[in-house]
Amino acid sequence: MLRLALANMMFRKARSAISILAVAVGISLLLVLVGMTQGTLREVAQRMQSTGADLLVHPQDMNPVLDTFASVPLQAVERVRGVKGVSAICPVVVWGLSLHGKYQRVFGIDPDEFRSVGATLRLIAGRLWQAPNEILIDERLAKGLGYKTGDTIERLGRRLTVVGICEAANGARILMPIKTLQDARSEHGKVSFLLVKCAPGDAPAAVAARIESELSSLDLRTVLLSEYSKELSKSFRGLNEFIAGVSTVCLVISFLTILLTLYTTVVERTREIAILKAMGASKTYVMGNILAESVILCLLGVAAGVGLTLVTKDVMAVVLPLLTVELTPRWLLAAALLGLFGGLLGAIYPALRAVASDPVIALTYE
Amino acid sequence: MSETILQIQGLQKSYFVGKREIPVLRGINLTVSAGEFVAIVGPSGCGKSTLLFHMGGLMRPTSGSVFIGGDDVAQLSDGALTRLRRDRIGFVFQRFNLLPALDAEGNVRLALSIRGDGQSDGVAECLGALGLSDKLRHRPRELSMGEQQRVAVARAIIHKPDILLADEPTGNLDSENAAQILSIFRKLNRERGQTIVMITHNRDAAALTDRVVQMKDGTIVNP
Repeated sequence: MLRLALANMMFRKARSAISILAVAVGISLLLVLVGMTQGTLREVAQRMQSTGADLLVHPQDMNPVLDTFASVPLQAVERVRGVKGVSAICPVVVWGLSLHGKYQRVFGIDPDEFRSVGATLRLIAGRLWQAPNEILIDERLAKGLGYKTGDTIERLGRRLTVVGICEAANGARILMPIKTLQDARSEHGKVSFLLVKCAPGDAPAAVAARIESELSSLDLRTVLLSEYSKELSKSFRGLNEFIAGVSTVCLVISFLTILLTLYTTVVERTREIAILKAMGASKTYVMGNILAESVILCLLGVAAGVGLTLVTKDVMAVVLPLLTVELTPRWLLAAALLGLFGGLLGAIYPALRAVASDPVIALTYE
Repeated sequence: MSETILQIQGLQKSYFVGKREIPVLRGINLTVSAGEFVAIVGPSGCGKSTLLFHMGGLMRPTSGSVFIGGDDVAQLSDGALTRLRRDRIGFVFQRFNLLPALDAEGNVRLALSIRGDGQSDGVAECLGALGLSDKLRHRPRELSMGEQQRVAVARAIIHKPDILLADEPTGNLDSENAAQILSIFRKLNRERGQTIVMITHNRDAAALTDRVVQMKDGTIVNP
């Protein structure tokens, strides 16, 4: 049965290739889109977590992922500093700007306070800022958009000069003096959120609870940076629905392609199927032959899809270096199962049709 | 007396177009003994092929009985009919009906794999006996029509069926290849005792058989 399925596939190379390609494109579409969304979110979360801080404290009415206003007064910063278990604080003013059409988050920080919560601020080129209008950008942004030390960006009515390139692990891709940002936006004495380092031996969750309960009048909310991914997912609420929608579309594409291919194959092979029946092939044999061909096509399609995804990932790394495409074993398995399931589903109707066909009609048709 | 391998009693077959009944076989009675070589002749449309398909368990009668080795085709389940065709019947068709995706050996081996017999012993020998030793790896499109029909014969006999049913086996062959096929049939019948029922328009082919059954308008005219 397997030999016959393989022989039929090889005999109709063009059609088999098209079927495999269709499944591959469906699988690759799923993996790239899911990988891109999850990869980007994970990369953002890792950047925040790599600051070394344990908590992010922000106003209740602020979305720390999307919002860029500064409303936390400095007095609040000092009160948070006084909570038991807080060992260091770095106030951050957040801003967003568009560079070459790509939105970038900017952190306004004090380098010493940033280091105090655990950030390394390791420089790859240039130096740290020494003047108000000097900024750092991370290596990925520098490489992706072609920036180097000495380049300037006109924003906020100022000429901001890139004086250093740091490794891509500092919360935001662009760092600048906190005071420059506060002055430029007339938000003196206010920050967007706080990065908090907890004392050794104090569980971050306990410190977070303390901050929220002892400073309830300040209307602050704490986020464990170890769970920042969840915060990101919440901020992009439609993401799961989007991924489910994409998965469904991919499944439908695979299903319809296999259905059409095998339906055409069954119609073309009506006489062959009649011959098999005349020779005494059971319904199981006939159906198994059709399904076997579908399974093989789908497995090859899945393999090709994974290959196509890897190629796409490499191409995107060059063309869109700021996007991260993440391939996880879980999603690779899910894509494979979806492709296989879609293919089998698409093969059932043609297989049933093959089994139900009257061999005499096919054998006597001239 | 040889055992009866095929017995047809009062076979009637009709097709229905809406409520209109179109009779094709009108009360056929026929007995074939083991080892017989029978030709069925008659004008086009007289029901020869329909009769052959009943003999092979591919059709069920509207009424009457078709006994193949004691089993009444009309009473068998679909599964049992399938097994009957698989184990006891061999078909040879006018149009060869080889699977184009398989080579000669693959087409013959298919007959064994359908039976769950993974062994391919005997396939090469069977094809060799039919003069196809050097054609094992050739696909049907690489074979002449005579060679294709010989592969079809090999496929039909590899599992040693009780009956070999041939529907105009020489209809698409030139005289030389037709003679070759008929010679093979005769040899199978004489040397192996193969029971063969053959539909043919070819008078010369019919003359080679033990018995000629003439049909007309869905009945046998020379019982």
